[in-house]
Amino acid sequence: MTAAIPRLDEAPEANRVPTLLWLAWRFLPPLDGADWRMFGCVAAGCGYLALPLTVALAAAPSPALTLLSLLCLAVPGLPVLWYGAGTLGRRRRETALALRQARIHSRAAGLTSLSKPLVYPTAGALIGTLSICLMHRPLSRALPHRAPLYAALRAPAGRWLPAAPAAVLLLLGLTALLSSRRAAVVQVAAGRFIARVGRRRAATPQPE
Amino acid sequence: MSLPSDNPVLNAVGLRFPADGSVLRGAHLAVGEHEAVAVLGEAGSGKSVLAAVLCGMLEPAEGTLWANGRPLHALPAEDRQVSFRRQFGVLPQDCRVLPELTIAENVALPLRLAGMGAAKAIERSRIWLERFEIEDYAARRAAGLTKPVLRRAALARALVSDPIVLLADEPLAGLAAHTAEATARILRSVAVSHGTAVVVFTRDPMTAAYFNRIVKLADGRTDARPASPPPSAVPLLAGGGESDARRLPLGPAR
Repeated sequence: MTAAIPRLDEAPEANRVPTLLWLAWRFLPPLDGADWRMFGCVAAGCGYLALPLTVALAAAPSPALTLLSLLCLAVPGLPVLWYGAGTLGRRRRETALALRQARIHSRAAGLTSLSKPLVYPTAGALIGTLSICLMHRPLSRALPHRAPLYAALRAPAGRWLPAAPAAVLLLLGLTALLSSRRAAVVQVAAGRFIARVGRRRAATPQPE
Repeated sequence: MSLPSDNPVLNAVGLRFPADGSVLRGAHLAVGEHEAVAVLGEAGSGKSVLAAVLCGMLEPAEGTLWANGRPLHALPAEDRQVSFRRQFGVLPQDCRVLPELTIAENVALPLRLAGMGAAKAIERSRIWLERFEIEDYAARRAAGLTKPVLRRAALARALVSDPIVLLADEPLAGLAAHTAEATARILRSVAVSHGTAVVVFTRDPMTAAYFNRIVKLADGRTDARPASPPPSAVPLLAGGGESDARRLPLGPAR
């Protein structure tokens, strides 16, 4: 029979939740310059996108022209969010891997590594939705009556209340989608394509 | 149920993975208490898969696995994972430490997850930091520290909960010669002082030569016999093994 080595640490599967919560808390603050950039991009992207999204939800159903205007308004925020979300997803996967290597169960590691991906977009989205909820009246007054967004911004007050949390949830979902592994692959491919097009343009001889 | 071998702490017999045996086809490995073994194989010989099977990350299609006298292969999946977590320390090839935590916090993490208080866990981790000669970095965040320091911190983290088996995949890869030698010496000394069965997976014969015994792995088969001999600690290098290890400051002894 094999001689049993006396164990120093035969603690039962203890309640790990306080330690996992402590870890999730420690993962929150941005660590370095790259982290701060990521935080800025995700929060700013979500904050910006929250404006047209909240308006669209509060004013639904809207005419096609209004929706098109809101879509055009949203476009500049998407690449910013996508850039930040890509880094956010990479960091989340690295954190989850490090936690698994510390012998934390895969599911617990995955959940603990979610603190940044939950808090960063939520912070931005909350600021964006709060801003538009507070500012939609003055903004509508500033617009001409025939502007496509005029009617949308004058949606009844009772519709902004449910629209705000819905917009935050949708932006959380969008950030999760953009921070996925597949989105990262598409991001890299898009970056390569843009770089190739840029090189071709640069190589084209210019007229003297 | 009887044990397939005399006195090994870790005994793997006839491991096959996957079912068609394209990676592992009947790999045997028996490692005794106080023994530091190197599994030497070319790239693609199945080292990483064997390491993953031994630490419970992959389930073999065939074969038996015994740890400290317990037949892990016969346990229900959940109990088996708990056994692996408690009894095995693992250092993967791409080892990561959490950059947000200090080195001491990283090393103490398995203890805190096992229910130990923060202060006590940090205190115990310090013993291992000293052992791996990285106590000067204890209070520093892991972000920005050099690879050798992080590798040693990951090794200390794998050993802090006092596992009976340490599985380390290429633990010395990318380290400078003197750092690699010092790390290997520490690993050998851990085997001697703690009775931990140390298994190192490497493709570098020079790295393998640092350890007490070499098991060759080729085409998914090891050159080890299914039933291992009693643990021996005959160093392959002159002046290595126990004599070297005893000169090192010892950690918490069993």
